[in-house]
Amino acid sequence: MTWTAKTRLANGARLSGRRSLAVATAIVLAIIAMGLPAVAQERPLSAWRLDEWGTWAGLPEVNPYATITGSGSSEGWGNAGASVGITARAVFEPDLSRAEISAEFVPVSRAIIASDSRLFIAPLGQRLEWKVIVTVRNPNDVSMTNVRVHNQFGKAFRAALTGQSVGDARMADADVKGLLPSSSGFTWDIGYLGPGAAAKAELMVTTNQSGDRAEFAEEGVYSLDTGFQLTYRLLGKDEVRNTAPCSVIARRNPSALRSDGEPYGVSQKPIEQGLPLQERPVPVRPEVGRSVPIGGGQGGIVPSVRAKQVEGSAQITRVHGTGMFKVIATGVSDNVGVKDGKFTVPAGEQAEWKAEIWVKNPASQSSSRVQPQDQPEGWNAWTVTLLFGQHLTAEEIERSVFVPGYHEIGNGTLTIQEDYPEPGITRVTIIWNWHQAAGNRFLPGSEAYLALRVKTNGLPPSDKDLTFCDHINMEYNPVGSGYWHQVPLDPIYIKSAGEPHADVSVTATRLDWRVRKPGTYAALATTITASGTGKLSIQFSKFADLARTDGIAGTIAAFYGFGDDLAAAETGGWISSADLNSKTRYIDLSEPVPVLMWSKMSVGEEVSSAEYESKGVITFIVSNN
Amino acid sequence: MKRLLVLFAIMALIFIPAMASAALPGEPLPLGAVEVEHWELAADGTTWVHKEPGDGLARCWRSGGDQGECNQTSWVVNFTHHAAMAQWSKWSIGGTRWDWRILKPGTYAADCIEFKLQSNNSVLIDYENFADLLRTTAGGVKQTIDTYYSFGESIGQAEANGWVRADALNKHDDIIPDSAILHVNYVTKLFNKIVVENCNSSGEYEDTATITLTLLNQQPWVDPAGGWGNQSLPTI
Repeated sequence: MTWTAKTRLANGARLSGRRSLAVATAIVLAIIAMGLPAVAQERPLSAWRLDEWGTWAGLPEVNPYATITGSGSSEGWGNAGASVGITARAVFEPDLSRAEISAEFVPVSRAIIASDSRLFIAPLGQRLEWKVIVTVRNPNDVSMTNVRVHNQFGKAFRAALTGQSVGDARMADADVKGLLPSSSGFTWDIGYLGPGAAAKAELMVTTNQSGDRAEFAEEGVYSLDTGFQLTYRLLGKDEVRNTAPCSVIARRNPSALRSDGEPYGVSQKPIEQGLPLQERPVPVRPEVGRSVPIGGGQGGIVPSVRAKQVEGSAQITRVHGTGMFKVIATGVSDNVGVKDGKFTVPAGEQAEWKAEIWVKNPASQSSSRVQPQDQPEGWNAWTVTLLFGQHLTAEEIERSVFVPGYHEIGNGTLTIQEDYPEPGITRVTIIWNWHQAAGNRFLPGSEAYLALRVKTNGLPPSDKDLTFCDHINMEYNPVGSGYWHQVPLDPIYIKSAGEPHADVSVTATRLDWRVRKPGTYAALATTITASGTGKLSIQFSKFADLARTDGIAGTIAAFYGFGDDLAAAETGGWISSADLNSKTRYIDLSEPVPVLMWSKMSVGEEVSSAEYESKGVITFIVSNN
Repeated sequence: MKRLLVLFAIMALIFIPAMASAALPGEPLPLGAVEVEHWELAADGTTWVHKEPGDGLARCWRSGGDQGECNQTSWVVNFTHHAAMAQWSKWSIGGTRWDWRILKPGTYAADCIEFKLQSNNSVLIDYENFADLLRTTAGGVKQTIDTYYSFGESIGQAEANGWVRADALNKHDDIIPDSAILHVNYVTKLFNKIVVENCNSSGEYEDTATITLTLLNQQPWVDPAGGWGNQSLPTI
């Protein structure tokens, strides 16, 4: 087992311990596989448990917390290196220590695939065997009396008792007079169980005899048991606890349940597996005013908006699924980029885009194959609106409208206005309005195109996305319809910060102490202030206790703390120089707060007069999040 | 009956905290270093006592400073933490005077004085003016009592260490090297041995000597009296 794995295990146990006072801190089973082909024989190993008082308590072989077994050994004697394979297995069941009863079904037959602790997948035509470990505990401060455990195993299985630590356990076959295979009943009379005491019983469960063979003959789901039921009396009150029942899915090819042959990774009970998943309803957008949604002619919104980035150019496209409305914004200046579907522009820099807008009445709709000549009505009018973000200006470059058969059609009315309801905010609104004139409608196959030059003299640095343009919408009024159909597109954003940016100031990079007598001393080491955009992480490395500069062994213990003053640093806790190297502090540049780093050193009587020094590294990393 | 009374005043102990000839070279402060306030943890282990610059048992200077403004995602600041430790010592001597009263000639020895020394670096012990005890008045058959010294925890150890004749001690300087025991507490006993002969007339005999302890690794910014000296050393 690697130390990391051990640590994880210990962490897991610690977490669990928080949830439950009496939970086992860790269960570690280490099996050392030896290089020689020796027969691995399991043997119980000593185990200790860190109790609530922080002391290690030895665990007996039967206990409510953990057991450990080991096998194999290894040794070497020579001049060469050696490699020893080590295998470890840990079983951790959270909160078991508070459970009065637990039952573990351990597959003995290799053919059994454990899907989870209560569901197994097994093949046909093979004798199958499980080892069942039943543990009853008394986690209470008072005794449990009349303690009794009962279970009924399925008819497809036969259970045999292999031992119990206390009490009287026995198996009894039901249906002994019938022709059908009998089911095994398990009864375990424990009687008395003192506070903190535990009892364990072990059983062997095999597939039952069917004809002259003990194996599954047919595919199906077999109930292994009904679950162990614990009854006991506590403080004059009868209590009942149950474990979950186990089932076995019998298949000709168990691994075929998953194409990759991995253990079947479902947690559902077998009976639930056959239930079909219900279809998830598609959310419907609310209607706005008189408007009706478009698409498909069924009143449903076509999930239409997509963004794409053209390789080699800073371009973002918004196009409706109907093809009726499209906006393409392309960076013109070199400092415009695209990242995560948003424009990036360095804060404070001038930048330019070209925004192109297309409106199209499709000549052919994939659903109906309607041709222009077949739907001569067209649209009476349409209006494109969009709103550019703050600090952006827009001007027209090109505008055209094409209606098949009508070359002198008007280009509509374009309004570029800088008004916004919120005072102090200037945003450019684009309104492009086209109406039929003299019966010349926007027939199928018609197209309109508008190109705008969009500029900024500099965007402010900000952690939040700025708007390039939003409220992008085209509405049209088909001939014969009393409604304006809405064709909205998603907004286009600018990652305002562009690149994360920070202005960092460190008041000191060196601290010199002159000490006359042993003692503990503290001073403000340095103050880190920062401004900019994004998040500034402060990482520490190579910090260490101060070491003698003359090469002779000797150190001065150094600690560091953070806080607005010494008291805050003291409250926050001093960090040893070694531990500081694993710490990272952050400054949110949107609301930057100075970081005051304090130094404390403990000069003991063991410190010889000399020069001591440590050189640490502080790395500042600015990022967007 | 005549009494032989020997008055034996042996030494006055002078403690010299620092000698210019025995100092560490010291490390200058960096250019632009500014002394700043600091705190010292009181003996109760919880109270921080504020100290203004120039005050306290330690002093602290800050220097350097760094500033960066750019779009690079990371940059590095090297931070140096330096401490210059001065030499200190704690010492005690159980007495500075021995007084013998002797009835009959013979060889006598006593430890008399327990000597404790604690320091955080090597200490030089210099002996001066040690001599046989000299009769304080004129006359008598033999004017001096042969006097010897030795160190040890017991008389047997002192014997094993060897007795040094008083005047020979003056040429015999001891250095107690920097060691863990010196940091904790170096303890020994000073034994003296006198050989009173028949020819020593009754009377008063005395010698006054000096032991000088010198801290061999003192910082140059500690003044000879053990206080803060001149901190204005050349800068780095």
